Amino acid sequence: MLKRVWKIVLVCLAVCLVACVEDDVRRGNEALRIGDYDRAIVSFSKALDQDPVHRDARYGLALSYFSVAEEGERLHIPTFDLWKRAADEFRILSKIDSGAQVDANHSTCLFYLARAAMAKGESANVLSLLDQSIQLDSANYFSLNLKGLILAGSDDAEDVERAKQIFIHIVTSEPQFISAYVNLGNIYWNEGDVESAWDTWSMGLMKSPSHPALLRWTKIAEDSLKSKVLSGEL
Amino acid sequence: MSEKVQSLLDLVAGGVPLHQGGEADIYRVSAKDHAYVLKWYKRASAFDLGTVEQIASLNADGLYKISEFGERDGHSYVVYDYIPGVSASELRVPVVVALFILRSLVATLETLKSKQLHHGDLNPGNIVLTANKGRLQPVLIDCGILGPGALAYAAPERFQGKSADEKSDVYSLGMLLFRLVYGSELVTADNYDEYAAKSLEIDSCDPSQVLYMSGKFSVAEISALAPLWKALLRADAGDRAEDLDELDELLEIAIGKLSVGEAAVQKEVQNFVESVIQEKLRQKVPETSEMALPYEITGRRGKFCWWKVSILLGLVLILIVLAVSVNKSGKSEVDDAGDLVLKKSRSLEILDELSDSVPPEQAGNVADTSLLQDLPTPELRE
Repeated sequence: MLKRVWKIVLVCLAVCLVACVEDDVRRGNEALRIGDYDRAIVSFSKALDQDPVHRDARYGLALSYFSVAEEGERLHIPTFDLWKRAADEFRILSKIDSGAQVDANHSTCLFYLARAAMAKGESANVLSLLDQSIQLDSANYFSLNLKGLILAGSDDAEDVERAKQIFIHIVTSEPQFISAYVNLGNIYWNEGDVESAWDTWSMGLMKSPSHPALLRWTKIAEDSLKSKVLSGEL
Repeated sequence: MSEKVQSLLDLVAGGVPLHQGGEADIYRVSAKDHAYVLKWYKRASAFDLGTVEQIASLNADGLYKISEFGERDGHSYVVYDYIPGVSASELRVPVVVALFILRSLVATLETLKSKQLHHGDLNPGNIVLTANKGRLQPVLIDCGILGPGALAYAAPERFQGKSADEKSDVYSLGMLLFRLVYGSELVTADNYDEYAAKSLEIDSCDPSQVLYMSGKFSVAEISALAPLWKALLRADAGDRAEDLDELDELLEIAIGKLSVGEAAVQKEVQNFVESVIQEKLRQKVPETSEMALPYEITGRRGKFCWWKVSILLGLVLILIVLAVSVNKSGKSEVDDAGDLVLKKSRSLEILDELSDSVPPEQAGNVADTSLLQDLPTPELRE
C-alpha cells in the first residue's frame, strides 16, 4: 500500500515538473512571438535548467539568440558574439533534433557568424564555418555565394576556378540569385573574358532588368565588346 | 413503500473456493458476520426450483438451511448456512455408527416426505457429519437435483428418467450404507451406460460377500447388515423396503443385533465423534478473507469502479491538457517561429538592392567591409 502511495506521489511530482517546464516553454514562445527576446531567453533558459534536453526550449533559446543577433545586424553593431551565442545553441540543439528546419536555420546562423567573423577581421575559420553551413543546408546560396567570393579573391587560380563553379552552380540551381551573376561576370571580366562576362551579366539582367549594377556593367561590357570589334580585336 | 432487499451475494465480505465440480462450484463465503456456502451452478446446470423453494421454508436439524437462491449473471445459485462438519465422503465409519447415521437420515427424509419431497441424490458428498454438543448429527445438503444424481448411488429407475421418489431414495441409502462401512462404492463403472446396466443387475451382487472377503468385518456385523441389502439394493422398486418407516425398523433391528442397548450405541457414536469428527474439524483450514468469487458484487464493485474511473479520468485529463499544451504552446509555436525565421532569411527580394558602387574589379575583395555590407544576406526582420 505504502509503495503504491509513493508511486502515486512520484507520478504527481513528475507531472508537476513536466507541467512547470511546459509552462516556461509556453511563456518563452509568447515572448519570442511578440519580440521580447530577453524575456524569451529567460523563460527558455529556466525550462532548460529543469530539462536540458527539452527540444522546444532549446530551439526557442537558439531562435531568441538568433533574433537578438539579427537586431544587432539591423543596428549595424558588431554581432560576432551574438551570432556565436546563437550558433552555440544551434550546435547543442543539433544533438537533440536534426530536422530540416532546424538545420536550415542553423546553416543561416553560421553564414552570419562567418560574415561577422570576416567583418571582425577573423577570417581564419570563415571557410570552415561556411562549409559547415553548406553541409547543413546545401540550398543555402548565401553561404555558397560568400564562399565563392572568398575563393574568387584568392591568388590561387584553382580557388578562382572553384569560385566560378560555385557561382555557376548557384545561377543554375537558383536563377533568381542575382548576386551570383554579378560575381560570376566579375571573374570573367578579371580574366579578360569580356564576352563571357557580358553573357553572364546579360543573363542576370534578363532575370532582374532594373538591377543597377547589372545595367551598368552590362553596358560597360557591351561598349568594350563594340570597341574590340571596331578595333578588329574581335 | 417497498424497499428492494439486497442480495446476500452483494454483502459478501470474503470467499474461499471449496470445491470445483462438473455441475457447480462451491465457495465458503462470509456475509453479515455469518458463514455461508455458495453453490454456483455452471451455465448448463440448474436445480429444481420448486423443491429448493420448499426446502428453504423448512427448518429441520438434519437438513441444510437455504438462505437465498436464484439466478445471477446467467448462473443458478443457492446460498445456505455453512455447516461446520466433515463430509461423509472423507470417512469410513464403524457399522454401528453407519447404521446410526442412516437412521438420522431416514428421519430427515421423513420430514421431506411430509412435504412430498425426496432428496434424489443421496451420496456421501451430500452428507455432512456434524458434532452438535458431542452428539453426531448428519446433515443433508443439495436437495432438488435434476437428473439421476451420483451414478454409483442412483436407483435403476433414475437412469430411465424417472423423478426421485421414496423408493429411489431407499435404494440410494443402501448404496450409501455400503460406502460408509466399506470405504468405497459397491458399483464402479466407466460411464453412464455401464452404471445403468450394473444397477439393473444389482440383485446378483452380494454385498455381504464383498464385506466378508475384505476380512475387516465380523460375522455379526455381516449378518446384521445382510437383511438391509435385501431390503435396499434391489433393481425392482417393488422388492425394496415398503417405505422409510420399514427401513427405520430394519435399521433398528440391525443396531440391536450389534449392541447391547441404546447406551452402548450412543457410547460408540460418541467415541466416533470425539476421535474422528472433532479431530478432523481441528485440522480444517483456518478461515481467510480471500476474495475469490465467480460474480461481481453489485454495490461495492460499483463504488470501487467509480473511484478507479475517477482517478483514471483525472489522469487522462491531465495527459490531454499536457498533450494539448505541448502541441499548441510548445512544439507548434516554436516551429512556427522557426519557419518564419527560415522563410524570411531565405527571401531573395532584397538582392536587387545590391549596391552598384562596387566596380567589378573590387567585387571580390572581401576584406573590404563595405563589400560585406553589400553582400546579399538572408533578410533581416524589421
